[in-house]
Amino acid sequence: MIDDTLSLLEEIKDILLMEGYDVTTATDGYDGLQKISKANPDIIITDLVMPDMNGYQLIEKIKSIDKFKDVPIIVLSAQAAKEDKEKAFELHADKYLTKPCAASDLVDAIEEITTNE
Amino acid sequence: MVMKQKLDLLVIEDSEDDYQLLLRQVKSGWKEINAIRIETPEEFEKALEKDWDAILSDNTLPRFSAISALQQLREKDENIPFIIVSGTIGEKQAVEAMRFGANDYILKSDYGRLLPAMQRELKEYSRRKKQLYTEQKLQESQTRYQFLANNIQDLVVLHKPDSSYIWVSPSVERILGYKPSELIGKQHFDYIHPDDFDEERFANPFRGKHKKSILRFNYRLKRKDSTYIHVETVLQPIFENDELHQIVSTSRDVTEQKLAYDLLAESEERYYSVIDSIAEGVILFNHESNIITYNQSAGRILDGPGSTFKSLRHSMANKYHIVKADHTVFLPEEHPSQITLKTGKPCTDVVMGLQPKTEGDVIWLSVNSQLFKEPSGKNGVVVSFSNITKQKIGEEKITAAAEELRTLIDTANAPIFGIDWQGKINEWNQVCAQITGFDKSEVIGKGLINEFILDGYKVAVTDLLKSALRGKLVTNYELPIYTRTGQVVTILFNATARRNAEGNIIGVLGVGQDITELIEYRDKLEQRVAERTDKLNEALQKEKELVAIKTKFVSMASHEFRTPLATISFASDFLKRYFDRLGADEREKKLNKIDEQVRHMTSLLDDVLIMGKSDAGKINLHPVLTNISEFCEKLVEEVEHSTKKTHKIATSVASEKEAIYVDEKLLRNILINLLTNAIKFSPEQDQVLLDVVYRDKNLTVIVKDYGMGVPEEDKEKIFDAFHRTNTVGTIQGTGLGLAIVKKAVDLHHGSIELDSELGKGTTFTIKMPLHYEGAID
Repeated sequence: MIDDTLSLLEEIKDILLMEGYDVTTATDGYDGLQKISKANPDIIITDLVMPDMNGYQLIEKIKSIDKFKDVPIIVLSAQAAKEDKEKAFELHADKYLTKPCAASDLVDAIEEITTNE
Repeated sequence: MVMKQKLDLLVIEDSEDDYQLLLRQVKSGWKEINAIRIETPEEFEKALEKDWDAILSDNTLPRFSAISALQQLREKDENIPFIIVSGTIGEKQAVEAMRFGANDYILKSDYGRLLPAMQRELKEYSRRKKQLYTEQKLQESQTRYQFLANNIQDLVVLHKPDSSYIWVSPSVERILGYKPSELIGKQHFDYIHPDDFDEERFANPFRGKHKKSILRFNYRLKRKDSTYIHVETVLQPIFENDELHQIVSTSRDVTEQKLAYDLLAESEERYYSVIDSIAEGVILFNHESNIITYNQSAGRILDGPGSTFKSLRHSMANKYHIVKADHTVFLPEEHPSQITLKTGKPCTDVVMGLQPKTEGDVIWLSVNSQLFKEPSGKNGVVVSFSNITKQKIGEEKITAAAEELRTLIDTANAPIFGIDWQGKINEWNQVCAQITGFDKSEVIGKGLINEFILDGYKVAVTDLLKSALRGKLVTNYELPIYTRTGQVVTILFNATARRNAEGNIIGVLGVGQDITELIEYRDKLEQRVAERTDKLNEALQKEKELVAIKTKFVSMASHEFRTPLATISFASDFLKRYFDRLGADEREKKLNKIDEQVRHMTSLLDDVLIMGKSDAGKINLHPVLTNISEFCEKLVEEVEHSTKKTHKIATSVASEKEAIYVDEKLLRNILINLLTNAIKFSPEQDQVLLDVVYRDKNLTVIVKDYGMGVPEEDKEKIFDAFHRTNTVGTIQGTGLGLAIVKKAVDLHHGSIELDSELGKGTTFTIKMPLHYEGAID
């Protein structure tokens, strides 16, 4: 889970832990990439607007790495515009959630992906 | 016969007594006798150098003799009377002496015979001398006449009365081509041109005439080569015993003169016929200004039809008052004929008006006069004149019209100028002079284009004037021209071709209007419109930018709200979803989290509202008298508290006055944002600096930290709303803090400076003039 807002990261981590998932958090793209290669996640949740490396760049990077290119990606962003959504899907993101959303929306999205696999 | 009064006598005698005796004998014959006696041949020879009237000689002398003296004398061919006077002489001697040329022989015993003999011989000698002289003269005369006749240029002929040639001068060969010998005996009449031969006149020309009559004839003579020459012949008769014996004729070749005369006569005739038939009047005056002659036109013009010499003279003297072109009086001495007679100079085209003394219109004449030589050698004057009344009246009308036009042009309340084919100015009215500062006299003859037109317009104006010269009408052309002071005035002008009486274009007349002020007004107006348009565009652009900023702001603000909302949403969902599984402390932690996010959102909302207000220009300054030191102290405390006292804010306030007028709210915004930022972005440090100085109505605020610093690329954008540098990481913020600071400074017309180095820290320096109304020292 990558987001530059610490308080939000904490909330999501708390929820996902309660749902029984292992959660690793990172606060920007570079941090994210490092943690991904270390944790080898099943699902990646990322924000889009972040300092240094933003979400789009991060997704591109992940998709360029063979090992992680098939890892499902959920975008959780404050960007509500249609264009942002389309751009994310072009980069092969799997889900797009707009902040704020209900905890159930996030949990449902994760469950949907895991059951499909 | 009158004897000579004085006798020069030479005597050859050896005896003085005889000499005296001899002198006594002849003395009574002359009043004075000048005699000398000699007795030798030498003396005789010497004496003969003088002239002597007579010589008397003794027969025999001791050393001389009469015979030898005679011989000596006759050798000199002298015919002086020589008389021998001797005592004795024989018959034989006497005969011998006579043979040698002695004139007489007288015995001394017979002295009585001496005087009569001398007188006789002297008389005879005198007669002989005269005859000799006459013969000599005749001889000379004959030679001269022969010479004359031979060399005479004219043809001199001696005729018989029937005209047959007796003698012909050698000049005939040159004149007629014949030798004199060819003509002798021929009839002169046969050589006269048949057309010129008047038998009655020629056959017996001297019948009934006086004997000394000289007759003249003109006729043509046939030359040997069959051509004819004109001759002028003078005939002189020679009568003998009252009968016409011979005729002398002298003929002169006048062919050339004749031809010249004929030509002259012909041309004169032609000339006179021309003079008489021309419409121009011609009068010839003699040196006393009397009319010699005049032609028909002169009579008609000055006197009317049927004019006679007498009536013409009367008319000229009495009928008219003579006036000049301007109707003033023409003085007699100003008359061209008088001027020409006086000065010898010709007069041309003098306008003279004949104002009839009775009723009638003026007759206008154009008069010329010129000198000519009368046959007497005196100067006369020929005056010619034509009636120009019609032209003159037309001219006066045209002159009046032209004068009116000229006045109109000159005084028209619009600039009017004219140029000729060469582009030289020939018209320049008062308004032109007034506008340009150049007088008419200064510009006439100067090139309009070169002297007055601006460089950039020369080609265009030249083309324009050329097309006007071709007859094209040019309208409303703006012509910038130089004035005397080097300024440029603009004339809006129309140009039309100017034509002469024949309709030919002679130049261009430009009529204009000084539109310099209009142009200036127009330019100013245009400038103002442009300025306004620029302002409007600027405002519009600002408005557009504002709208764009607002749109962006709204979108960014909404984005900024979504994150804390998401946090709140997740926290509350967490409570709901796992409420039963949570302990009380965990529940409280989540509720606190929600509280925290709500506060964050509130401050975000406050900032957004401030920004919105300032963007809408809704923030006004509300300065109040504030104790700056206390204000800062309070504020620092507040910030330290809100940042959980992680940093000490080292504060220094230096003010010229204890209390100053400031907008507390804005200053608070500035200080809180800068200080919170300083603390937020220097997490490893425990101190930031605040420096506040008030001096000369200027407030300076310096906030310094020793934190991470601002990257170079962000220094410009750092004051933009929602701009967050890459270095902020997860440090929370609304992204509006510095934007609000900038707005507050701008409202004060102040400046904000950023001095920052990565990893070393950042210093913000704010300078704000505090010229508040009501700020009392």
